[in-house]
Amino acid sequence: MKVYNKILKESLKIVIIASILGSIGGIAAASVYEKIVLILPLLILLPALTNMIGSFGSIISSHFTTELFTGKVDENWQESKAFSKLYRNIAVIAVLISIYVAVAANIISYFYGFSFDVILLIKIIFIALLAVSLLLVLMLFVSVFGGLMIFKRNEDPNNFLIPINTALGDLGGLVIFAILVSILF
Amino acid sequence: MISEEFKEIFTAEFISVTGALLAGTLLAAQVDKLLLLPGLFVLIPGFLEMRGSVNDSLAARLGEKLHIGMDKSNKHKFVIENILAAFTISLVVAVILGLFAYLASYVLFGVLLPSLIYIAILGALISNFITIPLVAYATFWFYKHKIDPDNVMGPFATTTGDIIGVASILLAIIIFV
Repeated sequence: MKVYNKILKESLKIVIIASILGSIGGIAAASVYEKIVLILPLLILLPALTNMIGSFGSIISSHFTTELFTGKVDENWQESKAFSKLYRNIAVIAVLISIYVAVAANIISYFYGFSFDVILLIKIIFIALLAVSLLLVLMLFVSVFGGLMIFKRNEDPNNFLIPINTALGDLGGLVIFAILVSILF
Repeated sequence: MISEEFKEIFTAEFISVTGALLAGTLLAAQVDKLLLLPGLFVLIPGFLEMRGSVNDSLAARLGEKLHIGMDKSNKHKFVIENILAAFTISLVVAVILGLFAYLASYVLFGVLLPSLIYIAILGALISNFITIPLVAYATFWFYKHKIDPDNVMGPFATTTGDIIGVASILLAIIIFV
């Protein structure tokens, strides 16, 4: 059972930390649970929002780490054309996907008998866009500075950056979501 | 002009969030249960994070071994030990998340709901039996069909984890509540 023991030793701790961070984010969502349950598009949006932010975090981290290992990026990371292009692509995709999830959440809830409201749709698009934008900036800095620091110590930044960015996506996404829901609704 | 990188990321994200929207739709169908057990709002994000982490890591480990080249005599043992490890991690984390949700529910809402612990464990058991063999099989299937598992297994594992994870939690709620 050599492989089994190795996996447990290396993975268990980080999965526990990442999952607990997700549940701490859940506490923020629970503080506005009555609004989420009453406004059905918010409930449908919630898993998609955290999924989307976490995925972008993984993409940024894994690309930055690969570029560090291949020598395409260093401390002057702003000068890396490939990384700048990737970040621009992610920013555009984030806007498109945020609008898609917000519109889809409204359409799905309409089929559950929830009445369609343009103002509500705009508010939900705004929540998705603001949460994604703020966290993309945060994840960029975590990936760059965390990645450079770990790389200098001759360790693989992937082992740290991917779980920390997905957990940040969950925790940050849910906290921003809860704050915006309590302000806007 | 749209670059290949843009197309790949957009397609993977689109599929992944569509799966998550489906998970949200399942939650909307059981909205009355969420009102009964607000502690579920604490449990579900952590549970989905756990499901995604375990599935992603399993796919990454199997994919890496396929790329490096697997010794045929050890292949079966390697896969079985990976699957067993994924099962164990999910169950241990589910117990911790259940206890966390139980305590948070008491602190936030003043209600002691031991069912949150049972729901977390049963939800993990049900989703383990479906997602772990599915992720392992899909990794080999994609590799056999000349599709790089590194490019597709991330969104596949997260999406199936979200949908089956939420469905398993809801099934556990129906059994315990």
